[in-house]
Amino acid sequence: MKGAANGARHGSGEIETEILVIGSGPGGAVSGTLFAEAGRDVTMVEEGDHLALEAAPHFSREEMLLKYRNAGVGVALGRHKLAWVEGRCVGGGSEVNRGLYHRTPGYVFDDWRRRFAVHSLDLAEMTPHFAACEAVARVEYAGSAASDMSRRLQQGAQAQGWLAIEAPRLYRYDHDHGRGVKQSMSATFVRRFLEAGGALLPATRIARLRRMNGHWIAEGTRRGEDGSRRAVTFRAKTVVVACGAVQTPALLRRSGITKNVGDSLRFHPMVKVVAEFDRDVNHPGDFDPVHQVKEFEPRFGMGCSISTPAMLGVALSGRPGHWDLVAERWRRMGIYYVQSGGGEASVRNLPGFEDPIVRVRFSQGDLSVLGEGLRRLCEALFAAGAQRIYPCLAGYPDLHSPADLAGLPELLQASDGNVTSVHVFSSCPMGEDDRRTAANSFGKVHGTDGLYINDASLLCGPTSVNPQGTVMAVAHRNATEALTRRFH
Amino acid sequence: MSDRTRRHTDAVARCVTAIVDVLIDESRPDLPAPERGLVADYVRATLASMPDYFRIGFRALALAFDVAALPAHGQRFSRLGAAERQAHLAAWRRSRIGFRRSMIAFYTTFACYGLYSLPATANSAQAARIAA
Repeated sequence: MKGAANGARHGSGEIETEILVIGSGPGGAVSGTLFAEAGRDVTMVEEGDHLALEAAPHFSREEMLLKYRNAGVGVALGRHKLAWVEGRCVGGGSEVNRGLYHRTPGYVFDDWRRRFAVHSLDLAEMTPHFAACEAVARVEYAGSAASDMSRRLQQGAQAQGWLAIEAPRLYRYDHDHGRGVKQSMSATFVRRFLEAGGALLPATRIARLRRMNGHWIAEGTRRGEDGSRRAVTFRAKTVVVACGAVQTPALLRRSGITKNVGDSLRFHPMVKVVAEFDRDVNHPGDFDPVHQVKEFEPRFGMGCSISTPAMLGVALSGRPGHWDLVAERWRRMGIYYVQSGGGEASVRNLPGFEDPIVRVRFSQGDLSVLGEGLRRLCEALFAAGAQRIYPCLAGYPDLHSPADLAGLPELLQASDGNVTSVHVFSSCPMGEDDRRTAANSFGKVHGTDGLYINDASLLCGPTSVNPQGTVMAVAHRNATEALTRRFH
Repeated sequence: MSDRTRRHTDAVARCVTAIVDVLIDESRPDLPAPERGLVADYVRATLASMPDYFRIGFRALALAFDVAALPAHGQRFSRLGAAERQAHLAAWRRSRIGFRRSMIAFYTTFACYGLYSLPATANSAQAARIAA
């Protein structure tokens, strides 16, 4: 045991460590594990708690309170607001998501390399990093175990002649018993990190960084079991910031590092509908849905959401009589979504407040894409046998047949809470074009020594696909490069 | 906590509990008091955990919502009877002022999530079947 684990402290009470990793989500967990396995003295701090995967039922209110940042309340302000959620616990977002997994499409890397001048970034260069991550966090297909509700989307897309796939998950399916084990960071990389001698400090929030005598000083607080916070300070030669796409720019900006930091946050904005079918498609104990429509990517994609009675209740909460509707028909219902890569947001700190404020802007083009995507999604669902579709958008009517789609507005008309996202990234893009990037091609923050970003913030734009695989592989690539270069 | 802060906190909690009660009545007027308490606890816990600048705004808004009932109904919202409470909440839900609608939409979303997540509720929903 090294560093913080054996209590190496200076007389001032500082905890000394060679490498301080701030954040334990997919970026931080992969980085910390590689450094620890290379024999480095690594301390990983995490603002949330270290909780077992089964500490709360998945997608429950208890999980929202225990494992989500701000209990699941994140709102980007603007004319069209966007609600998003992030994890806040050891393992970060990987603990609370479905673990849908994709390798990044090659055209996405090509675009980033061209527009942001990112070195050594293409599918061939990245393939070993995807493979290395998949060797630790297993990726599997549900195959014949996929739910009826999930298959309905695929059937609808096929009826339209559109490309649809089953997405694999970071999950180990036990097909014989209809169960499985989620491959979150706490269950995979964080375990390896600890086995390699890394020190993990949960309930620890870093407020700011400063440079002193060739070291980074990280000042923050640690929450005790009684809930009280005590000041804590770390001293490290190298700091890797991996707090997620909103908290990473917030920390850097509080630390006086602002160039291209927090100016370009992106999402996969999503709108949902509830489709009601003529027979049961939604059964208790079903595996999480996995089918996705790829025909229109990168403009927009489609998929199927978690559709428990609670989720259906929230999706239909704007409709009178929703309780009876859900109680009577939930087994015939599924929640489906269309998501794009539109909108751009900024992250800023407010004096006197701990939480950063996010402001988002959508262009007419962004709203047009979502409007078209919504119509296409409904076409697929009617083709799959939907009897009725309930758009989760205030003021939108229930749809009873494809003929009703002609009445939908061209531009999405969204009010509060109607546009949501579970993917946030790109707030501190990487690359050599320092007019638009915050860090170099491998995450080293421009104009600094020993300071790295290694999380979703670095992605140069939307990935079209679920971004966790990209975040892990980019983190693996950057951590490998840092070790090779001995952090120079 | 000072006495003044505690009074404000108590007033906000009373108002939020009353809002949640009205929202439950819209769907489950027969829900027993202990379950109502669980839903209200969840909504208050969410309110306490939301981003700090929203939290302050929502607390202020709850107090404003509470006293806004005075001109029309002669009492604060949290002290009104069920019918008057419903009328006051409906007026904010239909308001032309965006933040009023947003506030009711927020409480509706989280009260619904809390309501549908009740163990007994989840079980009864799972048992319910549409007639063939």
